[in-house]
Amino acid sequence: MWLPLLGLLLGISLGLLSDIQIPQEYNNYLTVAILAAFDTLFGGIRAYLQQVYDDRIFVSGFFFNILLAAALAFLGVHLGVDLYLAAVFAFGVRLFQNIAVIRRILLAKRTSNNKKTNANT
Amino acid sequence: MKEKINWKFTLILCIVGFVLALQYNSLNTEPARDTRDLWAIRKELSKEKKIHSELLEEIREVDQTLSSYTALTNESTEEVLQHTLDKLYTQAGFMPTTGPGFVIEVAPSPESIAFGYELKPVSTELLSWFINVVNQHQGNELEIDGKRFTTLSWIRDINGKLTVSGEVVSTPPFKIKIVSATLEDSVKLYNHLLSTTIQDEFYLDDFILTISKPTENVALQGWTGGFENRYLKEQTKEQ
Repeated sequence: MWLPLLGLLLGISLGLLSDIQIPQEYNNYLTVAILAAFDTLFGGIRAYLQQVYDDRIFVSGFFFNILLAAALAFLGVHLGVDLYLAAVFAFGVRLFQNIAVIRRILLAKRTSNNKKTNANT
Repeated sequence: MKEKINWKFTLILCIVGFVLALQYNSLNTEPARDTRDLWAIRKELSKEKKIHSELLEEIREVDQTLSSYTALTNESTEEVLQHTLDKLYTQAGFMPTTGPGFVIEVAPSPESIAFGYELKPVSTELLSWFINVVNQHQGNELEIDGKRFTTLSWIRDINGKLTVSGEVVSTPPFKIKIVSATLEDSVKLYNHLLSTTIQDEFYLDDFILTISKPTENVALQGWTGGFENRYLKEQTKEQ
């Protein structure tokens, strides 16, 4: 449980310390990439909680979604249509759905745990 | 199994954290603080105004040329075109020019003559440096040892000899002539040259620069070498 959090902190501190700045014109790509990463991450947590987690799906989904989102944004720039908004919308909706499912599963688990302890006592 | 999942989550969270921090870095760059004071801003404003007035002058000139084109009658066509051509040739340095300016004589220093040092030509670096100093003031025309220095001219060392656009510059003494747009500009450039270290730089190479005072009439020869036209093409009548 603590190890992933440690990883997140490590990543953030690495990023802040490296002082790398992405040029303004590539900001859209980075935004959709972050959204895609979050989507995969929460999808992974959800799958883990539902006990359908698959390593390969999670890792490949992470990189593939990021690349796809960036490619969509790139295509949008060249077509003159803000296609990255489509990616933002899709990932946003999925993100909310995943978080809602995670919340429900956690709530259900908690309720069942409470019931068990009540039954034991 | 759980360990494996943990590692992968950790790695991916690390990547996510890194990307997040990058985004944060990119969005939170404070614009550089403007530390100019009122006088610095006024100075820049005056510079811009000068450019503005120069541009307006150019526009006026082009407008005049345009109106002379539109008012063309068959008889004067040739005259107007010839006038434009002459103007372009003058701008490019192909026509002899006379104007306010001054003459600089490059000669071996008395010490080098007294000690009997061998006379060397001026180095290309020194001459390029000199031209850069002159070009800090815009709109000057140059002639180096009777060779007109245009925007297309180059300075090279060919087999130990200093050349300007392929023509050998004689070993000192020789003369450099500089013509400016107005006598005022010429005086400014003269004072600028006196205030820089250019004379010392030449002295280090055993040369002395004698800069004469600006006068109203200094004559420059035109560049006679022709030019290579790589990009412009003549249009046929049908086009």
